[in-house]
Amino acid sequence: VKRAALALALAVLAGSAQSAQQASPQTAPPDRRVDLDFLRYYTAEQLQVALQSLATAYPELVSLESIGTSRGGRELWVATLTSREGREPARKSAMLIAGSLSERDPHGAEMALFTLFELAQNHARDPQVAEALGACTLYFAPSLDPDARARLLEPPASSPEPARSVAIDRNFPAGWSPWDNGIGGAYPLSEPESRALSDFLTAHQNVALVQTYSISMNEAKAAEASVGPAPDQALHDSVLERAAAELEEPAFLRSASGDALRGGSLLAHVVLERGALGFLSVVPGRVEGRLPQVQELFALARRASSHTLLLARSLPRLAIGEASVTRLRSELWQVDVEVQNRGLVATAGALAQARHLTLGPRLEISGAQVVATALAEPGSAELRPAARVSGALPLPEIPGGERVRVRLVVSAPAESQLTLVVSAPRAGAASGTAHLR
Amino acid sequence: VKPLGGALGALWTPDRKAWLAAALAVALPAGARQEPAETPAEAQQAAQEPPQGGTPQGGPPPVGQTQDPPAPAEPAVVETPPADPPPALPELEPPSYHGLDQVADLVARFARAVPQAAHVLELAGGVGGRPLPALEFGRPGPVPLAERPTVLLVGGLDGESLCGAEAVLACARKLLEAPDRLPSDVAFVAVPWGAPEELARALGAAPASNPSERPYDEDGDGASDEDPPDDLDGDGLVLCMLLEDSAGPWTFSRDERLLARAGPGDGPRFWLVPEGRDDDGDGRFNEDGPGGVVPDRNFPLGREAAWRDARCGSLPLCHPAARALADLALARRTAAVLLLEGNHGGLAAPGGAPGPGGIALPLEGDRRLYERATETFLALTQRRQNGMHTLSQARGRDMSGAALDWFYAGAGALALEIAPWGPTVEGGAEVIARDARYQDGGPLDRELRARPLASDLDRAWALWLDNTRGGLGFVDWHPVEIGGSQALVGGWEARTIQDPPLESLPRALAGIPEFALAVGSALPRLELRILEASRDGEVVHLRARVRNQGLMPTGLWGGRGPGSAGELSLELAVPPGAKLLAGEARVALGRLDGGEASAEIGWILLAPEDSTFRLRAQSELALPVEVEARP
Repeated sequence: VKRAALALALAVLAGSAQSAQQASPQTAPPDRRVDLDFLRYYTAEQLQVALQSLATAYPELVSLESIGTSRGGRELWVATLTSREGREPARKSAMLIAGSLSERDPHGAEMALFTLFELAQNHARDPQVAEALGACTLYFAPSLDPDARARLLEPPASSPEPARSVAIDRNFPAGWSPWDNGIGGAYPLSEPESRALSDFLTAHQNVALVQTYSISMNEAKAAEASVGPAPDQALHDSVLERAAAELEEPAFLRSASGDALRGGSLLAHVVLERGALGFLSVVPGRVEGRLPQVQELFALARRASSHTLLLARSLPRLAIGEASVTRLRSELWQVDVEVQNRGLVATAGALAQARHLTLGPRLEISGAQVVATALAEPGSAELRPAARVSGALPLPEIPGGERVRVRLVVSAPAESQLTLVVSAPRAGAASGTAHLR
Repeated sequence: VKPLGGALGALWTPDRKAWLAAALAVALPAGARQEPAETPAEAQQAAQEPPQGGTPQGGPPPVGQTQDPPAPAEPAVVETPPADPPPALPELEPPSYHGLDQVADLVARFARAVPQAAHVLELAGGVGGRPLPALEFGRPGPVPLAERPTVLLVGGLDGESLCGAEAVLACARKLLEAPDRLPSDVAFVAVPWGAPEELARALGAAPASNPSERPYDEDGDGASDEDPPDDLDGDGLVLCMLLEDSAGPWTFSRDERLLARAGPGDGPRFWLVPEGRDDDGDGRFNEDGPGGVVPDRNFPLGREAAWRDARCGSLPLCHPAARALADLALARRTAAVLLLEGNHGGLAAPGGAPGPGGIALPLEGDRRLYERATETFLALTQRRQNGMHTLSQARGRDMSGAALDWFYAGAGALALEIAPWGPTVEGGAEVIARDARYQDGGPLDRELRARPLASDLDRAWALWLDNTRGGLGFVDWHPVEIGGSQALVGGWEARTIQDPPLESLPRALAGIPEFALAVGSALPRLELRILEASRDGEVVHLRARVRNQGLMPTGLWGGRGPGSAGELSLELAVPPGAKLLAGEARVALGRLDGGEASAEIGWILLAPEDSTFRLRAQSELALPVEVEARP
């Protein structure tokens, strides 16, 4: 590991410095505290050193944890990228960037690593990055099948374990089949890698979106393998519309549908069973299991990182508007406030709502005795009485860019301060205050 | 030689007799034999005569032993009994429902009583960090139990069927009475309490209000187990509750105890919920009680609709007991799985939900096997059932995530659900003589006659209750105060429809051990015969044939999917210095039905004198067999 770290530290290639500057057109220099080279592939050992270097260099942004080990004993790393100021990472809307989990994305580790590096070094000078990292959490799992990568990248002597028949990206539960010649495993999540990732998603209910990579999208096969209209297609489409408007090459960002939702895949699990959104950064027309040329890596990584930033900016984000206070009696107050979703997509998709896959937004009120509550659905001006459950006011799901009007009748002495906290697992949390005067 | 999958019809009639005969002749003491109505003398004769080409005793030799053609296999080696006589097998009489501690104790005592044939297995997935009690047993012999084709018996995996647990105990005890008469080279693994925490609640050992080790958020409100059922009327029973609502789907049927789906104009209408308060104030009653995920529904197949039923769990095999049983089945050559649970009183084949790709289970190629198993079960238990039922047919509802479907299509085993208890079990094969008190022909007044009929199943239970229990066992609907309004509380008491009253338990278990034995006796058994091993100088000619001496095929279609070829193979190990001139070192033979023989397989080799040739046949479900030849 030390040798690899030294090699990595010394491997400051002119190309990397020049390229990274090209990636960020802002005039201020990037806050580069680590030099990483993206003109080569990373072995498992080198990837670990690179991730640790980033976590050490950007402690206010990056943390690193192992979520388990592969069948071959290699660590499964997840780097968390978010601004540590403000809310804790688990209380922010989040996305997962999952790399190198099948033969379709052997380059995924480099794509994820570059994106992590790029966002970390540009957090101070790029307002979009700063806003995204302030409001959202990005979990990077760059290499989810490190054993397969080892067989691909390392000489046989250093990866003696034989190839296994089970594909990690066919071992998730949605649409899993025992009749795929064993490629999906004896049962879903039978492999330590898929189980660790599924456990991670269960423990991180804030993940609203997952991005993966794919070097090959066979269009005919995709059409054949279609499992019907993807749930929450409208939400996916809204993100692609933004991509069409903002990205230079929007066609390379795709929503999870067709072949991407094939049985046992991570995206099928995320989209069909967890009701989250799924996207792929694709490189069409390649052969599965073949690595892109190293000369292509940097350009591919730049493109993938722009996808990640766009997706992060699309995540739902709750906010509380300014409160309007009206005195009804000496100690009885009417407080009107708007709860907004400042993201592009809804606080939860239709599938997640219908199947109770995530909790809806809840407004907690403290600092006064709540006498009555009412709210107007998004798009409606009509206030209707609404009951509180377990001390909090359940709110409807809020589409992207929409707001919910809430009216509270509270009892408290004048000059009291009312504290409002709205939260939803996949849309983060926000707080506001109202002075009763 | 028949083509693969063909000529099944010619086999089934003799097979059926053989299944029955195997059960009767092998396990039961001579004086205790019970002749099934449909298998007269030739059934016993069939049992004494091995299938065509079969070895007279013990089947093919295990891996590691050699067999010279065409000599029969060596008889099984019986271990020397210990110096001190073991304790007697514990009795299961008088009938009772055993708790988890008692089950663990019984399992241990079974193992101590027959140490040469049985020992305790410790599986993960128990409660309180304790293992799931399990017993592994089989006829003493040289092949370790863990390597043998296995019949897995699991009780009460649905977390409700205590009689399923008793059925597994009864099977273990009955089969261990004469371990030397068990089929050779077959192992049985008995797991009486497949769902320990859930069964403890069903038994009353864990009150409904107790916290669960595995809390689950059934109503998706972010809290777990916060709205359990309650005993509102203080009668010591937690039954059902009717909440009147014009949008409710239920109304009273002609039998005022039973409910029917409300049609237009029917009333009053109700919601049917468990008895209790709305503890979490969400307007729903008792929808989030202790626990929630049921192992029997926590398996990977047919989960497209699993989100509708919290019992399936958010992820497959997230229940430790389900995962432990899946791992157990995969770690062994599991050839058959009998799930003893449910209250339909019959035998159910896989098909709780559509299989992968929406294909109906069981697959067409396996249906005859399931039909034969159903007939054998009905004959041995003296029950009636109108042909083979799939799981969803037997249960009358979708069974997403059913264990039965995965043990069939995922583990490739002959998977059967056997419900020891059901409305017609005590009536046996006889038609119940009288109608229930409120049925047509009874004292119906005009108002009652205008009401809809309850389901056939409910009416069958009502008939059973009235005809055999004098109507005792159902608490009539009565009003209770709840939250300032009224609800009706009533329903079936414990030990009525879910599990039999204790006095009915022996009838519910009758014939099930014999059926378990019949399944074990029917497992595929490979015989490998060398038909020619000759030498002309250095040129060696070999010919061999594989035969399935069992009654089941060497692999099920369900184990590999529709269109699969099966995994029976014959391999020739070419010795050092030898060269294969003709023939393949590994020949895929697909799948052999019961009694079927493969085509002759031939090889020509160039080999020095004194060369030894080793042939090995193996398949999904049968014990591999190996022979040597020295031409």
